[in-house]
Amino acid sequence: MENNLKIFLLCLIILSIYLIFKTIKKKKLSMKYGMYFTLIGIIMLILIIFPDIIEYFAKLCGFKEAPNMLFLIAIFLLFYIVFNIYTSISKLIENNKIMIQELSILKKELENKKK
Amino acid sequence: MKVLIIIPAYNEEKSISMVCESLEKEKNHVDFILDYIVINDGSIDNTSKICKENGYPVINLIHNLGIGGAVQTGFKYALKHNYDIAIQFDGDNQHDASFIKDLVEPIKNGKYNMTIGSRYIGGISEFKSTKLRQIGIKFLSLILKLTTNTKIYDMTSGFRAVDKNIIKLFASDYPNDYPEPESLVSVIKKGYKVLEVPVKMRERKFGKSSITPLKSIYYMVKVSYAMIVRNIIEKRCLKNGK
Repeated sequence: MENNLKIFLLCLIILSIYLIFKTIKKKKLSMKYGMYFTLIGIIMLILIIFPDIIEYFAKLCGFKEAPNMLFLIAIFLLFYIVFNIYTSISKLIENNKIMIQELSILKKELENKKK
Repeated sequence: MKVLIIIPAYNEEKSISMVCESLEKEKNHVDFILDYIVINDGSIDNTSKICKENGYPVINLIHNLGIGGAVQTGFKYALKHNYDIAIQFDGDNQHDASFIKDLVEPIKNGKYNMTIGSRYIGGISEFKSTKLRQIGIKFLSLILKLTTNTKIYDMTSGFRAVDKNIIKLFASDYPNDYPEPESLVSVIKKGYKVLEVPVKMRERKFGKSSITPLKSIYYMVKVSYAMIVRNIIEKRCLKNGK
């Protein structure tokens, strides 16, 4: 990898991590999810500084080209993240439903008592 | 014995008073305590106003939940107020209140846990829905037969009575959209006894069915999937002894 490309990518990732911290500070992202993304950033940092790691593992797994392995890992990771988001949404919908139901019943009972 | 009629209503301003009046009349013809409650699912028409003016008991959901969430609110209310039987009853005047006692009777005797008002048995209902819809319902009936080995003809009937055990079950777990066939699988898998009772149904005069032609394919896929998955996961529950 060319050195200037390396520096560019490093800057990009450090900027991303900075943005993650900023978002956490603004309370727009929870500490838990911020940690996941920071971890991914750190792994990428290591891989950019030592690209031989990727070559080594790609050869070990039988990939012809190292980038193929990276793409595959990236796609699986994205699927996993999206799946996680869907489970979170399902849970949110369920919680939201329960709250609407309980609150509506409570309102009804309050009205009954007033009468 | 206390019986609660749950009436889910979304934009039913034209028919809701007719439904409630017919239930008021029916109160005098039964030998048990008959209460009803309208679950107004965030209607944007005058449903809430009409209920308030006429003094019909109503729970106004603070946000639209869809049919499953609305009916489940009724079950939660029934559980809270210790009702013995809860009956789901449509707000569009499709159902006939005089058949309520027919649905209550088998549960009252303790022989069955759930009764379903059916258009397809007994031959007393003239209204049977469109041809295409009947084919769809037959298909769902076949899936139920294959998964639970139980034959129910009117799979999508929204006129159903359940006992205390099932009120408890539904209050904690009820599907959100297109709940009827899926919840039926749960009930049968849990070992409860279900009976179909012949009832008369009318064609709706006002309002639209919640299932438009475009959505019907999605409906069939979703409901079939839900029934099959429900069948598999409930089986696991039984094996684990839960």
